[in-house]
Amino acid sequence: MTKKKKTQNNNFIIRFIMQFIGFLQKDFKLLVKRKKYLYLTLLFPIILSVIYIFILTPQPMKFDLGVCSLDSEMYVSKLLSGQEDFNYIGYNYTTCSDENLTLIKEDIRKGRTIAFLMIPDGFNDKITNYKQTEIIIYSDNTDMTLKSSIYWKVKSVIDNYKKSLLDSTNNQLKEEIVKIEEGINFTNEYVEEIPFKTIKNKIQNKIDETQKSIEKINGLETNFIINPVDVNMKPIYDVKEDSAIGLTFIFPIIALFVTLMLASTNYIYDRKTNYIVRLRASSASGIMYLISKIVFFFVLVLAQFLLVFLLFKFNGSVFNINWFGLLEVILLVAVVDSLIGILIGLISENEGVAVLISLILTMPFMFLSGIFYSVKVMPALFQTIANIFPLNIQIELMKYVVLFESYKPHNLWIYSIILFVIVYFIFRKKRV
Amino acid sequence: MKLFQKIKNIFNGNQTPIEAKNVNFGYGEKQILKDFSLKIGSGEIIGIIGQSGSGKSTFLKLITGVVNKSHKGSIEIFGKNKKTNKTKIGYVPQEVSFISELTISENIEVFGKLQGMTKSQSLKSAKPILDLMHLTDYIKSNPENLSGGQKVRVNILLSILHNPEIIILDEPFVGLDYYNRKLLWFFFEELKKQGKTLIMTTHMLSEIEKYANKIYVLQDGKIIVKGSPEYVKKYMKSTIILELKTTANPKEDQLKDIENYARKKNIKLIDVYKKNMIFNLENKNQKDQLLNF
Repeated sequence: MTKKKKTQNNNFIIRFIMQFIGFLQKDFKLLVKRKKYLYLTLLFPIILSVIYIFILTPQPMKFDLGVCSLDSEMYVSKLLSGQEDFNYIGYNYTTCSDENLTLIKEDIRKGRTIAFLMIPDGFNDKITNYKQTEIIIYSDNTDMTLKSSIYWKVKSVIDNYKKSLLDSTNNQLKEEIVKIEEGINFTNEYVEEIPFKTIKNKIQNKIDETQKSIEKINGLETNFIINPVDVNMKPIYDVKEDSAIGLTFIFPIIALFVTLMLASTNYIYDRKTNYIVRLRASSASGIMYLISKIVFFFVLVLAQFLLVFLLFKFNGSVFNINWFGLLEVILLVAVVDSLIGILIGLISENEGVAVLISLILTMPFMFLSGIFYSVKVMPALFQTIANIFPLNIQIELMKYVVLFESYKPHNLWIYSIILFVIVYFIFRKKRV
Repeated sequence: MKLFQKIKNIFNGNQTPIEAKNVNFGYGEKQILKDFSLKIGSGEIIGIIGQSGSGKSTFLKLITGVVNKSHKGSIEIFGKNKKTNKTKIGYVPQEVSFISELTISENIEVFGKLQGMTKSQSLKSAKPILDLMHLTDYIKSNPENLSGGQKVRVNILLSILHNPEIIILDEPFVGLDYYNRKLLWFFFEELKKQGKTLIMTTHMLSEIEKYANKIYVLQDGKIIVKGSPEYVKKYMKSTIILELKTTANPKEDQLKDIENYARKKNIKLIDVYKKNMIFNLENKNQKDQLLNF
């Protein structure tokens, strides 16, 4: 190679490096100067993670529960003794008349109490005579989640009461059985003295049958009456901590939401300031420009992951991490999401339209990601659609690399290459 | 300067800075450039004039690669395909473009890097331009806070940091006052003395005829006349090019009234551009008639 050619090559390499660094420097400088985007990048993951960890993760909490008894007050304390889910607010509505009922409903509407429990008249009488009775719960039926929550919590309180009732009944039964056994033993003593063998054998057989029935009843467990078939869920994955599972979908969703908006508005800003015009007129290549965007968003996505990860760790989540796999997943998240974002920027007239399209895309992605409803229970068509969404693949990959310290083969790289080719093609052809 | 040009031509092998041959280009069925050919030498100031939509800006964008679409014909920069010789061109876009969140020196660094220059190279290259453009005192300022004329100068500065041999300017004088225009022409003359080739589109015929070596007149994508300013004026049978600037916000029918009046008086209207109307006058009488409207 001649000296001139070597110098030319070196100049080309230096120019190439300078241009690449220049792209990155510009984007980072702008991120710092345009503070709203910096806040979006850093604050949004923190806010969403905090909401997930501290609000959506079930925490023990007490409900204010109003109670009125048409029977005796003593059954209220019996019913609610030993439970910790409710603050019992005693009411002076011993008659629970229609008029009081209106006041009770008003109290619930105004939020003075979450729900109201009514013990009907004749409650004790029915229980004592082994007849089914009921308890009525008044609650806000327009809040579906709360209604369901209250029902299950009251049911668990009643189940405890039912168990204590059944235990007491069982004990009473056992006492009766003891008496019966005493009676049988007493009878047995005198059976031998019956002279007529046939009659004696018949009586003996009956006593034996009765003895067997009593043994059977004696062996009856209260738990069998309450819940004859218990369902026991066993995990197939060795996940040390359930709260860690949240990271696997919170992070990809945050990355998708933020990167789509940032990447699209970033590109539109470059277009608006005629940076794209200058880029096209320069010797810098469009491919290098796009790659620099991917690198830029990789850094941002990595920063977001670290923030979310630290919050989950602070909350006590335990992970089994495959670090190389994790790095690959974060890179893939950045590649795919930033390219989709740039694509949105290419087709949007302005930043407002870009943000709107980003939001419109993020919503169905989220709903089909399995965060609200499992993909496996969706109709077949939606399952097919969901399984080709990059977000779902990212969530699945995250599970393997942060929960199981493992890796799952995937086609996200092919996805990325196809997306890159499409974006580059439109970028080149788009009029500026 | 002629000796310098001769030496330069020896190194470049007598290569023409820009040569376009039979360029045909359009979007869909709309043909914008038709059999467009031109040859531009070093150290020249070339003016391209024409009505809005005649293809002036499109041609500039084709040379620089801002328009990526393929075209018929060839465009060569110093005898090579335009894509391989981009470092020799500096393109000054019509819309002022810089990053408003950054200072001028930061913009110099960013746009210098776009040309593959280090920070120190960019600032070193920018220094004499800043001095010539009277922008040295504003280097730490945000260009958004500058006057219109200063913004245009910053726009030019950022396009020529890499010391290109060909500078392409799309309507550089739009909205500029007399002082800024004079300053720009002073600067362009300095560039010309350095052997640079300048190509600019403009509506300011009256100004470009004083400084341009050659003028090309475009109409419907075709060059209808080319040559020295005197030749072009003679061809178009005009001695005066009058640019009427409307200061208020004129309505469509008000502009139409002026146009109809001009037609009645046999005064040729060349172009209506934003709020300005440009007329081709044959004598001073026509000027008086027009101004009396």
